[in-house]
Amino acid sequence: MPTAADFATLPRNLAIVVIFNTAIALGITLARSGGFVVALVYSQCIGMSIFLLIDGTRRLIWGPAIPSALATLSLSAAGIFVGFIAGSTIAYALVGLPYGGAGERHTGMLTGIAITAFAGTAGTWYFLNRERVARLRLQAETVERGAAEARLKLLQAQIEPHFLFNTLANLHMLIASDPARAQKMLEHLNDYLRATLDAARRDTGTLGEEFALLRGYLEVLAIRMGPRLAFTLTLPEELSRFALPPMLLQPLVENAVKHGLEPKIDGGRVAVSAERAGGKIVVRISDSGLGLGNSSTKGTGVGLAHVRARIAATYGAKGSVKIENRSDGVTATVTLPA
Amino acid sequence: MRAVIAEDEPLLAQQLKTLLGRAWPELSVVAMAGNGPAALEAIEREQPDVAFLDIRMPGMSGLELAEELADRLGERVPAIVFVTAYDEFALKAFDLAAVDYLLKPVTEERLTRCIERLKQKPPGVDALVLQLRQVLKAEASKNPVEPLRILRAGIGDTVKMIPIEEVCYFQASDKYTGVVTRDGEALIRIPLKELLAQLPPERFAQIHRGTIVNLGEVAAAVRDDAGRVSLKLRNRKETLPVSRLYADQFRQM
Repeated sequence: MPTAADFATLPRNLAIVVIFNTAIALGITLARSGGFVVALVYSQCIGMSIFLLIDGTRRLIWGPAIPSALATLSLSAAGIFVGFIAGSTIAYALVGLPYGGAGERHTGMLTGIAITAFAGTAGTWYFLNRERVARLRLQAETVERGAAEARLKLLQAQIEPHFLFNTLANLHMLIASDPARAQKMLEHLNDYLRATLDAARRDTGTLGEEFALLRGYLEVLAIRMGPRLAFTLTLPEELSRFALPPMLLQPLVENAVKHGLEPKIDGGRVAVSAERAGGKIVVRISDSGLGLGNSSTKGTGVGLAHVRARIAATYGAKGSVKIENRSDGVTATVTLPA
Repeated sequence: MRAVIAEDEPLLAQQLKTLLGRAWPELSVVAMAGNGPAALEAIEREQPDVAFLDIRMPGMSGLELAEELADRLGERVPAIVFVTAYDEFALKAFDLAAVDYLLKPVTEERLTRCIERLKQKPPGVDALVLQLRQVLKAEASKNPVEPLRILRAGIGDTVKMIPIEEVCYFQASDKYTGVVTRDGEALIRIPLKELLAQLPPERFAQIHRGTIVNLGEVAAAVRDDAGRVSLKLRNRKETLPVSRLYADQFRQM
């Protein structure tokens, strides 16, 4: 079924047709020297009828799709023929004069048919091409957006070597000294790595999955950092199925740990919470770390830039990420349309 | 033989201690520190023969710690072994006789080889300094950046434009970098490390972990009895200490 969106470009196209028709009327008047008003009425009536017949039928039947070459040809021929008869009938009713004046009705008719056939074909060809170009451009944009998102996801899935090797070194230690704890740590690491790799292959995840991934990541770090890291994760049950791009929040938590808590001598805590507020989903990542710009672990801002780019690609202006420096740490706030 | 271990992850510190106990029973680990400043304090106090330094630590990195130790302890500096999870500083390109490094997880076999080296004659402070200099140089050439001509420095509510030629020296502090000119001081937010890469090298030189000096503003270099070098400036009264790592450039020609 055609929808209102299929007719969105109709008014603009109509305006182009009016200009086109006026140009034809002007051409005819100059060539025959006289009767601009009559030529204009005929030209507008015929041109408009043809346009409405062809374009309207196309939109009604095919909607957003492009009809086949044969269908286009038949539709155009029928449209031009019927449009000419209907248009000139209406014009005759309006001005009460045959095209070209009373004396030369016959030749006027032939000239009219010739002009109509030529102009109708040109017009149809023009609009069809326009539609094609617009569609190709849209396709190119979609592909481009997909490529950008794929690249961001790949970058997201890159596991920081320091994280991986320090974790393995801890496991190496625990396997000999505390196998039960080693097993727990391995499970957390496994959760985190699996989620990371999954995220690179999928387009959407849920807030529940995202929090599970963060738990794996933070549990591993808590074993490594010992008393220097405490964390809380708060996700209301009803939000766990909320869909969002996978691993969207992880870089913000990683920043909180890497630039806020790890370089701080006494360490601190990170709290991640999600809530529904004012028709939006708000996720806050707060740390009690060194604060922005106070850490010697110079952040490159790449993590944050990725989060921002992914939010923009998925939600446009409806989503946002905001970073603020508090007196005792940093809070990152991600707002997504519910 | 005595050793200090500087490592912020408690399990890894414990593991290194256990491995050392097994592979080198004559070595006693006299102190363990979980961050840079604590390690500096422990090493100065204990004056061990060997120091195992994690590179990524809160407060001060292992590399910065080694530089500080070379300055403070001179010839009494311990043999340094860097320990790192991931060799981002390309330590493997350097001479292992001077400074060894261990990759985490530390294996017994690799540790044994490291111990064999440590049992030989200690490399001394000059070898350490040479090695650190190479690491830092390799670091600096990693990311080329746009040169800086005019500094936009904050003084209260005003942003002052300072051409770099007018700067006597830069001094790092906690959050900012101080810009010291003939007649005043201002603050910028660029860390010293990044700043150095943006300044013309024939004109500006690092002389300490926290100081970059305008060479044109230096009047003289003075060496004290302990061999420490400090700089007198043309237009400022204070003198600037030069770390061992950078003292070379002020030798007589």
